[in-house]
Amino acid sequence: MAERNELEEARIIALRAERVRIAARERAARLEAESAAEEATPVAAVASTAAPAQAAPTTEPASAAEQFLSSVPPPQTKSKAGDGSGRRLFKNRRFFWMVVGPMLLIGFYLFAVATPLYEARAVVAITKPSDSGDGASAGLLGRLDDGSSLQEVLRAGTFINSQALMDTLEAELGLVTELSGPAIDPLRRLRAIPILSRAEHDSFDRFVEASIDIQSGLMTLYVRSPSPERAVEVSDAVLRYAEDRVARLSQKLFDTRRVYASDMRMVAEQQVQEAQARLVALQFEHQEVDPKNRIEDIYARIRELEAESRELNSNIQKAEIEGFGDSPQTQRMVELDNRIQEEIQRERAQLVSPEGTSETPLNNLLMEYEMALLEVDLARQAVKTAIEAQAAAGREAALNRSQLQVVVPPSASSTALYPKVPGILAFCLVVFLATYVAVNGFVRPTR
Amino acid sequence: MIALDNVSILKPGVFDRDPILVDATATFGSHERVGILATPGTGKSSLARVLAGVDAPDAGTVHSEGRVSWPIGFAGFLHPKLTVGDNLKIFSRMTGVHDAAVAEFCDEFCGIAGLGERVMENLTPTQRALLAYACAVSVPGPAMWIADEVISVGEPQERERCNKVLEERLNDGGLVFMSRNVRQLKQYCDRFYVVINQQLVPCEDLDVAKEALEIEAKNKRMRH
Repeated sequence: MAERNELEEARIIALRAERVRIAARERAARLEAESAAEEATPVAAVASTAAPAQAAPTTEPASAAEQFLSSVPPPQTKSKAGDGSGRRLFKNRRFFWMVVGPMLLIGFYLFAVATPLYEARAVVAITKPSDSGDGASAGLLGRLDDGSSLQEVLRAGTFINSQALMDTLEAELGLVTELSGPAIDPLRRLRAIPILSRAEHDSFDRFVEASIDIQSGLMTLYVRSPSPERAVEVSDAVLRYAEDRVARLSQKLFDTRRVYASDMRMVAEQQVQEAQARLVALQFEHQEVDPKNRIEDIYARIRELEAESRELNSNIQKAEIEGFGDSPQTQRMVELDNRIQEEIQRERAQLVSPEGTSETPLNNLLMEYEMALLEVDLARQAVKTAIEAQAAAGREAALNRSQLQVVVPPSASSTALYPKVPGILAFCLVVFLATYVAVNGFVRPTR
Repeated sequence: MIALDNVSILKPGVFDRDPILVDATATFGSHERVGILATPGTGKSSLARVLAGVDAPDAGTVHSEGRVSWPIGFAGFLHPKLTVGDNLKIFSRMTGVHDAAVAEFCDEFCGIAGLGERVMENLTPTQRALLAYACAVSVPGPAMWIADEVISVGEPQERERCNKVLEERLNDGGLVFMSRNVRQLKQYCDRFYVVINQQLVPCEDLDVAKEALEIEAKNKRMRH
């Protein structure tokens, strides 16, 4: 089997070698024929590349095909293609207007017109004394969980980006007048554009900007100005106003809480006074300091009378059993028992029916007293709670007030950071090239 | 009728695009059968797309009166992952004809069972070519018919069917047939152009034009 395979492979190799030899022979024959044809028609090659009027001299009459070929202008090279139709020139012109021209304009603006701006940066945090013992917050979620400081930072950031701060800076430093004047180049100058519904404040963040890191709760203040000293000066002013604003907001909040706690205490005290007055009036009305004592006396008297009555009944029954039921002694005991029962009935009637100076039954009087006492107790409890709330508000006002802390004081580099020439140029180049490619690729002459 | 006025076509690209055809000016009448002889790689398909209105020329203008057909046999628009039905709907939208009429004609012409539901990539190359041909000739004339190298497709009996439909269409319209095949050009056309040296040049004798193309190709090889 192996021997047969080897024979088969040898046969295949021999066939391939034979095929290569045949191909080489045919190729040599073809090249020979081609060179013979070229020698026979030397004009053709020349005629195809020369202009018809300048056709090279021929040794033999040209064939019809050669004449036809010579009548056709030679193919245009890459550089000549546009010159013939004017299309490449048009394309070059388009490239100039869409890429080179705008880039030159932007370059001129950046290098010759744009005002160099220095940037002062400051990092601030807003903290509360109560936050100091919390330890580190665990990442973003920890910061979000404790959002009170973040809210303060957001409030401060909103204030820094507001028209109010811009007006304040204008009043104190004349900043808006400076930024909208010739000190700044015309494109970046602070100006209102009514047709675009843009006020000066809409562009103010070019010069004063605050960004907040939501994770760390830190606020970075950027102030840009034509001079580094001025940038630092404006930064200091902005921080001062922001600190004042934060303090005022915090103070206003705690003042409100304290006033509310004080009001609540006054109301509770008034309620105590009123409840106490109602209790005293009740005592005057019924001539009773505490009706509970009188009722207890009545019940004690009833209990004594009933005990005496039980003893008399026992003696009467003994006498009847012994046969002395009709004796005068027994009759007196019966009469005495009857009087005791009448006395018990009278005492019981005092509890449930009006008598004497009061028209109110004693049980009802007791209920009124209990209600009045309950009101007094509740009012006293309210006073206690109000006093505690007032104390807590005062404590928070003293200890938990927000404070703006400058983590990194304002400082400006000695090199102008704006305009960012390389970045702007690169960005514009990419945009212009992309637009040019898009226009060339998709916008073509219509039929 | 299609009239080319200084039409130039460039190879695809962004910068330094080589010209394929430069300043071509010609008029193809409504009932003419025009053959354009061109060697491979000289821009037949680009010219066909420009004539059919699929592409716009890079320079110059193309005026057309009446309807111009979809390039006959042009299968580039058939998406392999879509069904035949979906492809026919897309073709109908591109050409502005009713999709039901196109689907009915293609069903009848191709004679493939369940054609509409079949996915393009599951068709054989012959079936795909037949479908593309059917799409192009599905809309009746009058029109200028554009053929790019392909004038009939498939097996002999299918070629007969193609020829029959094409003859019917050409009874009421013109033909612009681009090919490198002199015999086919002579069979279908009665006026000829040749694309040589990036020019669209009228010619009387296709054999002479073919010989000129061969000489030009040989010269080009020598220059390289």
